[in-house]
Amino acid sequence: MIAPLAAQLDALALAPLRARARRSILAVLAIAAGVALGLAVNLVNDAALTEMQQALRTVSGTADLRIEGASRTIDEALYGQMGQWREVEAIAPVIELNAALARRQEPLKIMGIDPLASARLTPQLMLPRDAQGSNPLSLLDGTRVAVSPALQAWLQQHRPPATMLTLSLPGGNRDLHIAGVLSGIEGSRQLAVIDIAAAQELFGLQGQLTRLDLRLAPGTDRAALLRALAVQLPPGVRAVAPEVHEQQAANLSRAYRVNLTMLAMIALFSGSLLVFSTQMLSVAERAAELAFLRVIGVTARGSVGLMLFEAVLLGTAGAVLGAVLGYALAWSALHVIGGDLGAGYFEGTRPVLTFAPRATLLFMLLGAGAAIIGAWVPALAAARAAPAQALKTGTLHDGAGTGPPPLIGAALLLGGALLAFAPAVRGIPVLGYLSIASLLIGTILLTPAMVAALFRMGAACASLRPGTPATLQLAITRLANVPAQAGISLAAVLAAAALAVAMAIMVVSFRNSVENWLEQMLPAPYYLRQTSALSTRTPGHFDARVQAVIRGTPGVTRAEFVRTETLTLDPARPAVALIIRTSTAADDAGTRLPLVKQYPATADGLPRVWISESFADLYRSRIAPSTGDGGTFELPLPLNPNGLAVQRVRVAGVWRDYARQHGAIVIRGADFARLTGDARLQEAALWLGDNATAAAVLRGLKTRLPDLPALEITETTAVRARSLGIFDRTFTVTYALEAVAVVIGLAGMAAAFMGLIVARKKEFGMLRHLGLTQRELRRMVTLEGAALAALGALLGMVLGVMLAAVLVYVINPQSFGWSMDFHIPVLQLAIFAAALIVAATASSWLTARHVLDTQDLVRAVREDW
Amino acid sequence: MLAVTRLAKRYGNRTIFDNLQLTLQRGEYVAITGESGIGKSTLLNLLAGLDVPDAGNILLNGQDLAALDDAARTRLRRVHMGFVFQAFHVLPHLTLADNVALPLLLLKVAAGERMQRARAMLDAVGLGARGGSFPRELSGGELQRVAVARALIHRPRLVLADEPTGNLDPERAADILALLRDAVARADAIGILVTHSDVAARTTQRVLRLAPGGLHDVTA
Amino acid sequence: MRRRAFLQRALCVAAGVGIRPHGAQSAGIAYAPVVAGTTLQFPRDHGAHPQHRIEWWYLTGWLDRGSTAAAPRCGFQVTFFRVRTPLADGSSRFTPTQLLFAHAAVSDPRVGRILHDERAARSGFGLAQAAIGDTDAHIRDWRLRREPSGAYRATIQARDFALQLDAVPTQTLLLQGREGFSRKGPLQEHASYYYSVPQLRVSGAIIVRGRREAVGGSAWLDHEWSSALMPPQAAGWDWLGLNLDDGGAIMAFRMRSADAAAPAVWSDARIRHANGQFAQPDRSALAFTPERHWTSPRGARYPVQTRIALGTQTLHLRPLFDAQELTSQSMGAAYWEGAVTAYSGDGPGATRLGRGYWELTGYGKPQRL
Repeated sequence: MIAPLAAQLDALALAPLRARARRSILAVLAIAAGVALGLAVNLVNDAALTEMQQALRTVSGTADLRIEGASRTIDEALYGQMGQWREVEAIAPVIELNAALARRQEPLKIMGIDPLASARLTPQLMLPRDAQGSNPLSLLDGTRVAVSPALQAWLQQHRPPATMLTLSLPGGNRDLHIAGVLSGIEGSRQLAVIDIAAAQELFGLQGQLTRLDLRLAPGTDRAALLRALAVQLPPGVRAVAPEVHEQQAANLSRAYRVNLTMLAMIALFSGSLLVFSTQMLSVAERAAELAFLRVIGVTARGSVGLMLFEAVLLGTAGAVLGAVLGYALAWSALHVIGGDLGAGYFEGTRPVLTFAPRATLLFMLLGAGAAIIGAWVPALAAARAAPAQALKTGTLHDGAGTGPPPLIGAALLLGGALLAFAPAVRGIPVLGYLSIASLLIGTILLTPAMVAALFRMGAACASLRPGTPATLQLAITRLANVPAQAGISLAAVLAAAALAVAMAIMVVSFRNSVENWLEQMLPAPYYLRQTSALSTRTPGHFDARVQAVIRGTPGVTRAEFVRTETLTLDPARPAVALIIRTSTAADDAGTRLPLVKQYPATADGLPRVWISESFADLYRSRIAPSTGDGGTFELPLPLNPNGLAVQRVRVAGVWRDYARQHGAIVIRGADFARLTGDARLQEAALWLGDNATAAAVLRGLKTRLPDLPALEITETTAVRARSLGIFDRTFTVTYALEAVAVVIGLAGMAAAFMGLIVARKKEFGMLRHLGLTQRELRRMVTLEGAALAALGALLGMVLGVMLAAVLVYVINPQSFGWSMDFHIPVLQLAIFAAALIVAATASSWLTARHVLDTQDLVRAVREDW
Repeated sequence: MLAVTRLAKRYGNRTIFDNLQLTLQRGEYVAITGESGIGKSTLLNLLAGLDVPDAGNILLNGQDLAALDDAARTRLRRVHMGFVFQAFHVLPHLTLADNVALPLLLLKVAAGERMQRARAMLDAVGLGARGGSFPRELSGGELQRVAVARALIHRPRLVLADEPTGNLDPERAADILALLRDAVARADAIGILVTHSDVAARTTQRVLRLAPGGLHDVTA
Repeated sequence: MRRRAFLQRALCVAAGVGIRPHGAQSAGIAYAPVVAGTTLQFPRDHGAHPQHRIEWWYLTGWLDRGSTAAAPRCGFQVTFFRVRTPLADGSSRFTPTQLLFAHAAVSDPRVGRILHDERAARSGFGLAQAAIGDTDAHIRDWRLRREPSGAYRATIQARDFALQLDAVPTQTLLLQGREGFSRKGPLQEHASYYYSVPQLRVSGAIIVRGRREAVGGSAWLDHEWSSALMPPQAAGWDWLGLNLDDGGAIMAFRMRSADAAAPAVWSDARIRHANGQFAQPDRSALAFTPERHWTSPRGARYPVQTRIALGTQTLHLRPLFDAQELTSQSMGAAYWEGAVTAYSGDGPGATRLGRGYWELTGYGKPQRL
């Protein structure tokens, strides 16, 4: 039974696929590309998330609960208090900070732990016993440090023989002996563990802790305990389940992952279109063959099945290939770009790729599904063809007729436009993406109608104008009258061009906006800060005296100060930034921000704050609205050294912030100092006199401030360049995806086009009889290709601009909570369109030459079909 | 005048014909018959300048097709020849008028004149009212009428018809054959009808049978 | 004296190799010496002696479960160790100057192996402390405390069991060595302050595997502190604390040499008869003869059944069961601490003399935990 079945299969499905190998291969490749991209994005993201979660578990261990400060450290007395709770089975005090290493730019994560208390909660941070006498208690003497394998490797490479770790502290460098390696910490995480007493003393954190890790007694109702703690913990201190942090990490990159997956889905859609064109042409070419099959007894359903079976073969091949490519792509992405695909969400980790059966299967099914969907309409068309009529060779095949009714396309376009106004669903702009899909499909469905209208007009012009070459007239007339076929070969290139244009506009808009934003956020040419041992991210403070000294240093014409604190307003969300800025004029703090909304001043005496767009978005429900201004909300202001003062503040404006996705609040330095009694600030923006150099000013500052040895001046241009560099890196992957999509689109068009030409060889044979030279034929075909490509590029551009508008005004604000200014890079797009048309023309010309010179056109004329 | 002298053509080792002679004057309308595979199509291709002989000459109006390059032969074909095919080969995406006017388009005849002559031609084949229709609306017989009109619109010297009734029922076939005969006569062209059908052959003035030795007049 | 292989390791680890003074606050510290002729003063000396390097309170005993004949007796151990590190006080309240370790174990024949758990902490924050003035050591909710009445109360909530025991003295305390000055080696400086409270009457409850049972029984308390305990040539010690059925008490120990074939580095014993009279066997008459070994899963070979010759008297020790090895995560040491019964001979007709605890340290290789 098998052998005849196999033979039957071969004759009916495989042989036709083989015969159209080139097109089949392209369809397979397109499906594979979509599957590969989608799978790779998800694999990489999963790997990064897993790594992130592992990293979180490394530092929080098996704790059931954490107690931490909403904005800063907590009082160590809480350790004693919480240790008395009956529900607490084990408790460990922790200090976690980023410290500066001598002669190293990147900060190092330092964990200060009590090895005796942490043994049960974070066993992986325990120093193993070894032959040299190291054991978990070796750290207690405060001069020793345990390092993660990755840090050990780094030290061996950069600080051989790696027996010391040298911290850069305000009082000078401090050497710690490496007591051993924490072999339980896997992966690329660089981490050093010291005793908690040493951590307090080295970093001046006496009396303070970063957090407490708690293991609860068996049978404890954690939710009830959390509720009790919410009431009993002092202000500014909260209890959280460690999963919350993992969830935050996942949420952080979710929007990014969704965006990239959508790109992959569009690639898959292109693949689907390719299968569609492959099979549609196949139906046309094989009309007689299919008719013959019908005549010898294959039912209509059977012929649908046959076509779908071919699609399944294509789809499966594409899916398998795509899965393999996906893993390869993910692997190289992880090695070359990093787990966040360049977006910077997972700094300092090196994720490991693992096999993900569910995601793999899902994307393979999507790939096969795309092929089947693509083959559906052609299969039905094949079944509909009446055998007798198809066998009768009355006309040359007339392609797919006039195409779908334009009403459906128009309805989809309209629906897409309406969907763009819908809000996000659970933080993801699902309806926005649906809008993009509708616009895309609508445009493709409308293409035949547009092709017809356009080329009919063209044909009318051409025939009215004497001297129009016959080849051009023929080409245009054909396009005008066979719009559906034109539409089929256009669809892939149109989709790809639209996608590329949309992404390009979005990225350029984004980049321009970021550039402007950087200008506004960093107005001064120089920035002064004090690198701190506690963290390179949290510079040391400048108190009022230091501020005055800085202002009075020769060469400094103007100095303004900024300080950034983190605040947790909602335990389920990452902390927001509180930016404290000095101002010279009464109300200056806000006006120097990239404001998108500004409210008039009110006389209620409440401190005014300026909130970022994402803050406005995320914490909308907390802001009590009032008419005519931005409303008020309760802001917990951090007190020194810990604790909070809750203050109602008024929203004076909303500003655009690309740096802090989780929200930021700007408050004036004077207000902050008045409310908290804390006038310390961190960073100084410096304007220098004409004759002053940064180096000279820095020397002057160091002489005047001998107690602040670690002062450092940064040039703003360098910061801007670095920021834009990070930005460009982030979008490298999207560019790569676009390039892939465009190449697939072009290849798809070439394939469809080639199919069309092969199918039309009788027509060309007839024209040869009628006196068209081979060259003229080639020119005619190339003209058709160029006209199609030009139209594809044109429609792609128009659609691309629409999609870009959805991306810029809907997807991005909903995904990331920020807005941007729409900016069309006209020149780049023109170049892109030209390149697209040239490439398409060249490929048409090559195709025309290849097909016309290899096919026996003269004989084709005599063939019965 | 069409004068074929000492024509020879072989494919590899197989000699299709060797030393074939044929002379036809304007107004002559002949049929060429012969068994399948004997070389009727090859002869037709050589006469149309779509293929080149291994030896011999094909003189059409004094020009030797064998001596011309492909482009020159193509131009000669464009100006002086008309074709009717078994499978009609009417372009589906053109209207009937456009199809008929196709040779004029290639000859760069102005649009207005093209349409005028196409309409006249369609009138002549009995489809005068349907110039704006598309081929899919027509029956096979009607399509072949269009093809005949297309073959003659540019007043060719030589009309080559290759089994023009192969796809038609006898009634329609008779129609077309009569139409073709009359049209060739009216145009004062040389007509060559390649056919299997004796019935069809009998509509011509002379029947030539292609055999390995050459063309033999077998007019009954 | 007391204790213990793991303590020996703890000393090495915590006081010696492991902890060096903070670079910034080096200075080192001077430990209080153990001086012969010092008169112990109570209740003050029930409390902690933070100036000494190490100190422990050791409560061991046998428990019977009421009248249920079917329920066999089981052994228990509750120990608190205090270690003074060489670190001087720092500006951080976490500076680990005093460390506390606690071990608790139950040897229940129905379980067939020892159940044990431990706690470790640096002193401070009200979560761990060994009080001065009277016995009161705790690490979070684990506590051993001497009540004003003189009764010891042990409260232990361990992973697999719980203990809530009151141990009431029935006799005066027993000063070991010379009036509480207990030599540990040939040199005078290897010594400790050491007293015991034998024949404690125990009442309370234990929970083993979720089952709570009222218990009674007898126990033995050791309290010992020192700054220099182990002679360097010693590899470990064997120690016995025995409550005799007739009301007497026997303590015997030997410091074994690292060379297994060599004679003991030091050994000593003290016997108090029921009538309160002491017997001090001649040190040369003391002999520890292993009769049967048990090899633990970790590979240590313990002489769980040993004959101890005390001059006039010979004790034949039989363990409640063999698997009474303890492993300490925090100290990285393993030792055998088991309930034993002492008989007059090894035949079936031998009389039972008493019950107590037999401790064997320094037998395994250093443990990697």
